[in-house]
Amino acid sequence: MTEQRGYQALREAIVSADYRSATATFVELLRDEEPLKKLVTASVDTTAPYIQAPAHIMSRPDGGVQTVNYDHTVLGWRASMQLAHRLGERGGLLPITQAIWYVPQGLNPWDQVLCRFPGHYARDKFKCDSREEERAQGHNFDGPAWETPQVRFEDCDPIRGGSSSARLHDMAAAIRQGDRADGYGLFLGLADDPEQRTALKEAMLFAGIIDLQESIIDRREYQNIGHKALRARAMVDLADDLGWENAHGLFYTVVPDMGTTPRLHALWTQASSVVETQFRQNWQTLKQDNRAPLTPREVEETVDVVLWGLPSDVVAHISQRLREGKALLAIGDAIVVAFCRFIIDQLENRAAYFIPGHALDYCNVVHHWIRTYDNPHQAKALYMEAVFVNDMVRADRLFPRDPENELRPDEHAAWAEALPLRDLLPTIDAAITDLDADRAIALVDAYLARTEERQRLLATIAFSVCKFQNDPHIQRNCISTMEEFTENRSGQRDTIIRAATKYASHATKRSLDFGAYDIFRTSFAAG
Amino acid sequence: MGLQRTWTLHNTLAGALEQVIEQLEAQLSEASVGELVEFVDGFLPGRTASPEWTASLERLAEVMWSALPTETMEAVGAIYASREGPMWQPLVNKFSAEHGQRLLGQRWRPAGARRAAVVLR
Repeated sequence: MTEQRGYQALREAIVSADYRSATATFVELLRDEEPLKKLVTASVDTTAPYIQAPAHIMSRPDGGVQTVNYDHTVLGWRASMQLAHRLGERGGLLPITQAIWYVPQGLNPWDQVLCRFPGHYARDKFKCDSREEERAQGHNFDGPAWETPQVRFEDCDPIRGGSSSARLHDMAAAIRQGDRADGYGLFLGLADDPEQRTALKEAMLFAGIIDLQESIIDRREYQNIGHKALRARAMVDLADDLGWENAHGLFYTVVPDMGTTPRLHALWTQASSVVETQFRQNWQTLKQDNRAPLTPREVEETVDVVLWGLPSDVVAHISQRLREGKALLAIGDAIVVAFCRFIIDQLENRAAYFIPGHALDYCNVVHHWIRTYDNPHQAKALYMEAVFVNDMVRADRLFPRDPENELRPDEHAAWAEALPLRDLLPTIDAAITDLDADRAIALVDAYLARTEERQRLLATIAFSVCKFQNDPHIQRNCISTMEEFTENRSGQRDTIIRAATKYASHATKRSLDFGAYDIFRTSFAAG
Repeated sequence: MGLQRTWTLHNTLAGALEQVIEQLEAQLSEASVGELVEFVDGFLPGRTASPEWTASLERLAEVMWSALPTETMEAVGAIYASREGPMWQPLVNKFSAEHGQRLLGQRWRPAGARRAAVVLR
């Protein structure tokens, strides 16, 4: 295939939601030594006009509202590119294969809700293929599409003029107020100036992090489970990876969506009020002033409050930790441990992992923001991540536990401990691929007890779970896990691995077909 | 508060908790099967007061298995088994005879203890 024809075929396959052809073409171009970043850029540029939603809630004919999902194509690219750096030359191409496999299935989420365009939401969530009128018209929601996807937000020109600091302020205000065109235009103008990039990245993360629901309990539509933050992180990472000069499609994909409805700032307002009241004029220097780590007992206390307290208890506890002079990231590390304990000790229903998983990814974005940039508002984000995790735990408690869902890894402990160390990683790979959580957990526990090695273990877990297709959350959870494991200073880093093992081997998968993995295996893994 | 005073408080609360458990067991024993099912239904997501209320169903089921006669528990189990749909499956399994036997088999009563150990929440 010539380079020009290959790219044209890739674009056509993507916009027609033909994910099998898109994947085959992408992989063939990669094997022909087309640069990965160029292929990813071309894919992002192709999808950019077709992933916007006018809003993330849609009015139903009965007067109620319906959630419209956030674009996940860009989340898949960011997570897969990051994972590719960590899974080796060949193994790293599995998440990349999964990313392109997903992209044509994730176009135009708004029209997928309405059964007007194919993709995984229309096919799997809304069951559009089962509708008589759609069958009569011969529509197939597994693709390919019968028409070109709609453009739901037209591209804008950059807005220039005025000082950079004033434009940054105006951009953040426009996003917060839902003025998508102004927010996007101001961003484009600032993005042209390399000197503004650090401030721009920080501002986008800030804008995303503060947009978060205070609870998902009894608020089915008015929530975003952290997607504004996750999209901001995807954009800043990918822009750095692909090059800002090549990233217009990426900006078009992410920035207008930052201001879409619903915009949820109530929790942010609460955190702001609490911090500014509790710490008066000192709140702006909490990051610089607070340096103390948490003792092991203090980590346990924070875990206990996040797992068992009411939201008001959690807010009071975070204030207490800040008054004690505890470092922001030390508190954040304990919150991540709390999330992981929830996964390990409490979550039992295979179908219940999906929404809570976003809380770990949100914590990861907050921690990346705190680690990489300085902003006096960062202490407030600790309240938000702690309340988010606590809310996931409480939301899970709304459903009675089923004794049949109880896992019993202990029954396999003796078997796992008897295996030679060299056999553990391949057996872990097999157990995750088989979704045999009892064995996978027992095997990982045996591995953790017998060696200090962790990177190959994490890579094995990530590679194994990346065999499952149609779901960019898998790659995102892997990279969040790897980053948090690397950075966590709580003294409980292995808890993060044990949670990742249970998540990988137990959570319901969107598909048990291995079409994408088969393409990866035949194209890259031989030899 | 000194250690002696704290331990006194612990023992006083243990006595009070024992009385609450005895009162709960007595009330459960007096309830009809219909009243028991109506009460359990109030723990489900659509009717619950809070996630914490639903979570406490685990402890209520344990008390029911330890305090109520087998035929009562069989009748409760039969009502849930007759309900259709996956949302009822946790209750079908929670009130199955096999689960009841497992729970009763797990009860731990240390030497010298007045009653089996109690999990609070």
